[in-house]
Amino acid sequence: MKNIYVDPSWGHLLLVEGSDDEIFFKKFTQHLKIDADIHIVQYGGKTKLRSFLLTILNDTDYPRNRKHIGIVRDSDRNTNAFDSVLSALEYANKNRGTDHKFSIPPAAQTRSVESPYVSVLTLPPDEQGTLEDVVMDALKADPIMPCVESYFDCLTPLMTNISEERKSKSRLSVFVSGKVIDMDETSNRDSKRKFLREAVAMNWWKPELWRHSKFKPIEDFLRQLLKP
Amino acid sequence: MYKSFRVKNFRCFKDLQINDLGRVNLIAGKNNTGKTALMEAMYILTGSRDLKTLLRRANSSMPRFRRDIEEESRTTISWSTIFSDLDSSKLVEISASDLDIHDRSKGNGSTYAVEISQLQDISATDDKALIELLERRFDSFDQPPKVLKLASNFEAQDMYLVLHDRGMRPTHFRFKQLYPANMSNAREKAHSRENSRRFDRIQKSKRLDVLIETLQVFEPELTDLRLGTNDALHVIEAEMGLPELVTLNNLGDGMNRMLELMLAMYEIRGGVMFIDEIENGLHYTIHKKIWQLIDEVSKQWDIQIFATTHSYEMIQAAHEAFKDEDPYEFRFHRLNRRSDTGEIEAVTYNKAGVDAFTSINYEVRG
Repeated sequence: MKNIYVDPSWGHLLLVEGSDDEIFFKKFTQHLKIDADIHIVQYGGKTKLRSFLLTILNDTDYPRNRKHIGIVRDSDRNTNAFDSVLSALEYANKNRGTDHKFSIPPAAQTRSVESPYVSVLTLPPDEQGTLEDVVMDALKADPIMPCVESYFDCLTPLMTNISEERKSKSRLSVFVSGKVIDMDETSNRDSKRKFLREAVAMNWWKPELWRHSKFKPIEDFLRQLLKP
Repeated sequence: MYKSFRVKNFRCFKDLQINDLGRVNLIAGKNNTGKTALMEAMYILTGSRDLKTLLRRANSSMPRFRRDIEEESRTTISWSTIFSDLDSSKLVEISASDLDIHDRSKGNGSTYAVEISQLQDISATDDKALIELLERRFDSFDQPPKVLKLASNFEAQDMYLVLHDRGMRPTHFRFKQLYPANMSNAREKAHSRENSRRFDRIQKSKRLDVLIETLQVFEPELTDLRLGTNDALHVIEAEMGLPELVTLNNLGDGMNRMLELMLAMYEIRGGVMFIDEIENGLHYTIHKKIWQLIDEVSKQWDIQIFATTHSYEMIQAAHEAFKDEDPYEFRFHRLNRRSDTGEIEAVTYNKAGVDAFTSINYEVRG
């Protein structure tokens, strides 16, 4: 496995769950023209968040180099996703080998009072689901969406143990799979595209899609990350 | 055993403090962050007056204050590197708090301290031993001598080291050791005669089992060890199930290094062992087993261990070897230069800290 290393010189860190999220946020920050100022790092999923945070905190230069840490995680079916991030921050503070601590944000999407600032975004904000659900909501007006929905309407009664988290990813995957048979130069290059990271890189993903109201909380969160 | 440690103005350190030392400690950091210097400072605090360590005379035959060092000319000896910024007007302060590693209730909580300074005005000294040495030995100089003072709060008498035109001489040769200690450097092999003497002592104490178990990590066929002779020299020989005994020198460097380490540790039971670049000569597949052996010996012989490494595998293997122990007596210390001042700081990782970066494969060597 490749070793992870977060360059201490980056002031603004955006911690995201996995590779799909990393590429989604890279594309979004590129669209907002703030990609040069924010370092996006995967923490490897919610179970590894506390280890990741403790390791970041155990850097002697943490308070000198870091300005703002933004943490993004899926809400999943957990109504307390924000509390779960808080508990990871508190675990890091308790087990640190340095003098400094993470400052604790009072609520989701609100940065902590003390610098280096910490803020948390759960997706979708204030409801259950995943980043894929936010994206699917933004794509609701797409002409192929009814086909995707009817496919899942057909599948659902046949399944005995549906995982809502997997269903979110699966719906997006079906949507993207549909898009690749609509022949364009992107689909010619690769007909096996089916993930979020590929959706945001495809030709049909038009820049105006980033301006969808469903992405507004994400945009606000990213801009807040760079606030002095 | 050391519980916490502080060093000021020594080599690359302005002021470095480590508050949570374990029974077994592994130190990592980029080049020039003072991994070896940290162990040297700790070594000096054990009461060792090893000039090779103090003056960094690698591969020299410089003795430990047993006799005058006349063969060394003044021009080849420099102690300015002892002081941070090469500024010999500074006062080096090394201190540690003491605690028994096995029974924390026994820790007497004492603070032990050593100070090293260069006398700025020799004529102002009132130390009788130094005055006598200067009058008796160095009554005529081409240049005035330089004098280094080593003082501690656990010795009644301060020690002075006089550097003059024709060499160097200390005011006295006897000194008190706080702890028995040994420093193992991968590039500097112990003299084979010294190894043979140590082997003889461990053999007489019927503890060859530890050495055999250690070497079996490398050579499972090895079943016994003995002291033989080769051209009138004592050599350590191994029974490998072959027609003849095999001289240990003919086996791998890793095996010989581990044997040397074990021999050195037996000599300092109840003391402190310093191991520079512990991974040297050791394949990653045996790292965990090596740590388990070191752990066992450290407990049996009551030895606190300090080792340095550049190897991520060595750090992971140490955590693997210690993570199920209760209490967890392993500590990982990372030395790092501050991004603003360049001063060196230490971070100590406890079990949660080591577990965190090893579980996500986070790069912490640097």
